Amino acid sequence: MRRNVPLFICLIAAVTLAGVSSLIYEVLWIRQLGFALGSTAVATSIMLTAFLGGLAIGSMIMGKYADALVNPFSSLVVVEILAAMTGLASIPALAYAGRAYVLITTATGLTGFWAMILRSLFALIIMAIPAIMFGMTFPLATVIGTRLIGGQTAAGTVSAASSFGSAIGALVCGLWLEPTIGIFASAQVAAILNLCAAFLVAIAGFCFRRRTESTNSRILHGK
Amino acid sequence: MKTRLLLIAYALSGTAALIYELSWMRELSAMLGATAYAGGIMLGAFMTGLGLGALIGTIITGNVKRPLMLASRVELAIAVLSIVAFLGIRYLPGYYFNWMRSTGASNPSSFLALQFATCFLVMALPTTAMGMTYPLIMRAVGRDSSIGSLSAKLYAVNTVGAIIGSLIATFSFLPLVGVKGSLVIAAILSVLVAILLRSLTTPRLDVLALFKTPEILVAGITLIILIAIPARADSPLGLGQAFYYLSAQDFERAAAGRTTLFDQEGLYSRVQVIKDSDGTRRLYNGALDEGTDNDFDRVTTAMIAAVPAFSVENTGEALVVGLGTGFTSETYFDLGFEQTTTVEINPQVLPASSFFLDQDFAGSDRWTVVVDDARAFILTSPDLYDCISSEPSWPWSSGVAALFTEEFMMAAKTRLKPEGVYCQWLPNYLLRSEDVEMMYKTMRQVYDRVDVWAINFSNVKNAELLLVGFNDRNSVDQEIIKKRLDDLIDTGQFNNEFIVTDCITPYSEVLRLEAALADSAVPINTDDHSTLEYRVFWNFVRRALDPLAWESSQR
Repeated sequence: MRRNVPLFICLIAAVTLAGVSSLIYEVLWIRQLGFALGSTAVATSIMLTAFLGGLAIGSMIMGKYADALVNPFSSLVVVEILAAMTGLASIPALAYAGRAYVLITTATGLTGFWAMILRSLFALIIMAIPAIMFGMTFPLATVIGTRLIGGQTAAGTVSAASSFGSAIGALVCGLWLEPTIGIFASAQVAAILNLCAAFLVAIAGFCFRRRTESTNSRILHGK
Repeated sequence: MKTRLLLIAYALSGTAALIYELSWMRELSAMLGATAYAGGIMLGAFMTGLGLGALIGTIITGNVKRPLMLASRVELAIAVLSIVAFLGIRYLPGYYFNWMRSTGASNPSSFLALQFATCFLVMALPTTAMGMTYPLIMRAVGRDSSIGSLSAKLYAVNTVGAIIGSLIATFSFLPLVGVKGSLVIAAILSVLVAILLRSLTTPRLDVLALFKTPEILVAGITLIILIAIPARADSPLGLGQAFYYLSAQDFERAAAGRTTLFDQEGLYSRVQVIKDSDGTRRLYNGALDEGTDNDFDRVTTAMIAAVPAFSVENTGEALVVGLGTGFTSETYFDLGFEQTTTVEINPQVLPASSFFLDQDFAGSDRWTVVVDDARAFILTSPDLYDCISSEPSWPWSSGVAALFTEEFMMAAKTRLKPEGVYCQWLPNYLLRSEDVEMMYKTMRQVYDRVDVWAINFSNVKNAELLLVGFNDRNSVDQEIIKKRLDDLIDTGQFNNEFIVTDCITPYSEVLRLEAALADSAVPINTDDHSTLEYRVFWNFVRRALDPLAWESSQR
């Protein structure tokens, strides 16, 4: 297990980057939702519900399969790439949703409770999809970490890396990215971080497979 | 059964965490200013604590013999340490205010570092304890063969608990029982989680035996202390007050002679109406001074209605963005508008405004208040208006920035009648010349004609600006509008010694603003890049904390 430590560090770096990215998106969604659908307490709660709900759903879905996956590395690579794509798309999608919401409410005369439901649906659908991807990261990374260095240390370290990444994401986005380069450019940075995470996991997966294959080969040839 | 109980306990832990977080953030945002910066800092401090806890938990788990017992004690520790956090948010604002005044103006990085340090000081201990729970539980029940499934279940139930916590804290606990009450509820939940985890350490459930443990005594004492710490009764001391007071002691001296006329915790913030020793009434929204009833302030609130009102030929319908003290809406009413609609996002501001308004106006059917986000209302309302006056809160406040962008101005334009006008208030005392250029350029993207008016006081010229955008560029000439305003002021209708003909004049630097239109270095304030919000914030900090440097930079 000790020789897998560099690969585990690679994984932890990827989880941290994914944590940074997810909190950048959370901060940006709060802003974008305020612009597109209003800054009411209901709107903010919808955002938080979509974000956290997406994380929970993603975690539950992947939790069912993660332990049985032959190659969780490639699954995590795919999840990170999808997170980059859906996360980046969510920013203009929210702006379009705002416009669609205005068109529908003005055409149908929808107001009050039903207008709020419509607003919520738009926001939930758009934000929940990338949030589900973020949620899938956690169980996959825990399983990979367990295969690399063993369960107890892996689970806690993945959790710590994810939290530290989230802290960095909230600070970097709130204090520097969004004020300096705006919402969409910040989302592009977040997407790049997801792709970097995918790249790191891919490298770790490649090295792990090579190492496993060579070990198996040595065992097979009785060396 | 035990797994189910563990999942329930961990879900409740998530619920408690979000109640703590939202309660702390409400008080801290009053202290730090409800800005986008503060939002990032508070979230960052909270997550840093969780990360530290997870790291410590991971390091110590290897040597722990009874991890579930320790997890139970950690949950109890969260309740105990929430006392430290509560004491922090209760007594730290004065110290923070003085630190900020003495060190904050030096540079933006140290100002933000001080904000982070303050948040972390409040949250560090309980959030670190929160972060420790997960690795301890994983140590107790995790098996390598099913670790993905278990970690996913724990993560999911904790997150669902967090959703519930955020919803009940926002819509129920904070408005109904306030910050202190919410923290007590969260502490009770933490104690409950500790009991549930403790019960899982015994072969069979024995609730009565749990009450004989020393932890119950600790829990009881914790709750008694939390209840005994008094909640804040006076108006909050925060960044907004840096404009008016040199130190926390200054603020306390002023507060000593005040009486509270209205005090209500709401969905967004605590709204208060305070009466100063000289009889002036002040409206507070969080720690922000949103307006007073003194004649000085009423110059601006009156002109925000009078200028657009005299820029049109009809006195039909007017829309006011932001209620505040309500004087702008009342001015439209006094000027004879058939219908005035005011959009206000915070429901608690409506009852508070009754302490400022004339009863004939407040009870009139010619005035309607809509409680909604102004942007959402303007985008979806089918009504058209002769005048729209936008006087939201400070532009650096989170959420308010959306009411100063090009997209908002465009949306407002669609709600104007063919000869209607849109009036944008700008706090020029917080703007540098390049900021005014940016806002003029932004407004000119939407309107072909923009009149710029300066609000002057005897000691300050151009203190505030009004940008009036015309749907029809050939509408009433600015000179004629000025003549109409002078005639109105001469009648003495405003009954205000500060409202004289010189208090409202055409802005003298329009040529400079026009020249800036062609300057590609002058940005436009958009949804995607809401530059004004951040610029005004730093201007506010510099002006409040180092007024001499600000004055010299303005020259």
